Amino acid sequence: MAENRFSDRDIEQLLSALVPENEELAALAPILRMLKDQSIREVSEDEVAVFAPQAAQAARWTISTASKPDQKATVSTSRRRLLRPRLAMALASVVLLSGMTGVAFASNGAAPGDPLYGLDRALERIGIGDGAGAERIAEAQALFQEGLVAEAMAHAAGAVAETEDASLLADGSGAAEALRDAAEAITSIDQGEADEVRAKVAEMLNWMADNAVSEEPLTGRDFGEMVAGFAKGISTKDDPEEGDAAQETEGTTGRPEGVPGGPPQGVPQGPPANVPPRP
Amino acid sequence: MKMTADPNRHDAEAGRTPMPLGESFDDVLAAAKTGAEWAWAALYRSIAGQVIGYLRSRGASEPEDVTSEAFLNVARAIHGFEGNENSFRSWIFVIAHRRLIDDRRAASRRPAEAGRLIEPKSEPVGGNVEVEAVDRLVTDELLKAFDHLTEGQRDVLGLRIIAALSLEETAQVVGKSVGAIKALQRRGLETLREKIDSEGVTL
Repeated sequence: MAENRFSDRDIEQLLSALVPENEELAALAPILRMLKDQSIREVSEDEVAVFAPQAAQAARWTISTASKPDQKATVSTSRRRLLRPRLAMALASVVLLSGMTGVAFASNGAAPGDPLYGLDRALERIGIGDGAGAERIAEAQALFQEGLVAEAMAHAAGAVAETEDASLLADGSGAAEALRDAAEAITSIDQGEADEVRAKVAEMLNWMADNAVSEEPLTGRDFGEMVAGFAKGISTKDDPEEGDAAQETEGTTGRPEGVPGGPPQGVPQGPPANVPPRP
Repeated sequence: MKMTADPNRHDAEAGRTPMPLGESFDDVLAAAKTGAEWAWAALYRSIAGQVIGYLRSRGASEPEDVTSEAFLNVARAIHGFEGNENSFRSWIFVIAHRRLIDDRRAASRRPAEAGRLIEPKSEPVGGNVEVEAVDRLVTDELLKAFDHLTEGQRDVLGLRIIAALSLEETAQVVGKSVGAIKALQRRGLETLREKIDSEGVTL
């Protein structure tokens, strides 16, 4: 077996910004430093000002729904909509430039053809927000009822992706990706296939909604495989190569163990310790 | 012609690495769980620059949006998180890397677009224009060497260098074994060394 040019120890020293003994490797330090310096940037206070309120509200909403585990997923018309960052910045700039209110923007916003047009007009009409899990599935159903089938699929994909992110699932099912593929495929279906596709999408969304409020919902890999199965039946595209996406989820073992945290005296307390887990 | 770069000279426009929260992380996390805006602002400031930097270096189409969405997903699940600052950072990078993979798949369906590991900043800062021009040329040559790495090697080196993740954290983000990460970073660094030697750029 050929000997490695660089030892693991020298490599770790280089990547830890220390000076490795191997001179050839040590000579790479400036280029690695250059890569780091060229890449990283400080976020502006404008960006922080847009992001922080959204994240804080998302965290508060999660706490409030976690304390009401029996609350079924319903479309809430009273919740303030959480805007995607790009849309939030666009909204801020339109309001600034035109003096229009947010309501006026809703009717004077993105033009047809803009990827956000259909989704956001539907959300405005329905008056629903950007929630997670079961509520997002309900939102997808509402979009579907509006006739925005592709948008409904994309929204469902977001719900699945959020579920995966929250628990670092190693489901390997590619459910979110399959849903996105299906959403894209729907945009190019023939008129003759439309009824069949709509029926399949309705079947999938109904299953997801029922599962979300079930007493024993499918979760993890089982949930992902069910959704992926539905989505692949809807999509007319070939399954994408597994490649990195399968490897990136395979072997992910969940968040690493760390030091259990607990706020010291005087620090705002977190949610109650006995909050039941969300379904 | 051999070109020489001054390894001690730093571009004044170079990004500054955001500071980790360190000992204050536990307090910030506790407050973030209650929905305190200041806590989320602190978390975002401490990590977002590296996430954006990593995504941008890897050719993500909208790195700022992807970063914000990753943080929002974390915000929705924060009440269930228990861990230290390193595990929190790993969590965000796992999510961001997944979105990067999604982005690549979407991009593969679009017309091919040229992608570099990083586009060097083009405007000189000031001072000696000639010296800066030479340094800029050298920077370009050095950074072009990364173009010869495989996608996996660039992902791993990006996470190790830009995100400053450990071996184990990087393995978790990309979903490969620690052994695979070691092999990828070694081959990547060997390729860099060979390309720099063959292009005649001295460091």
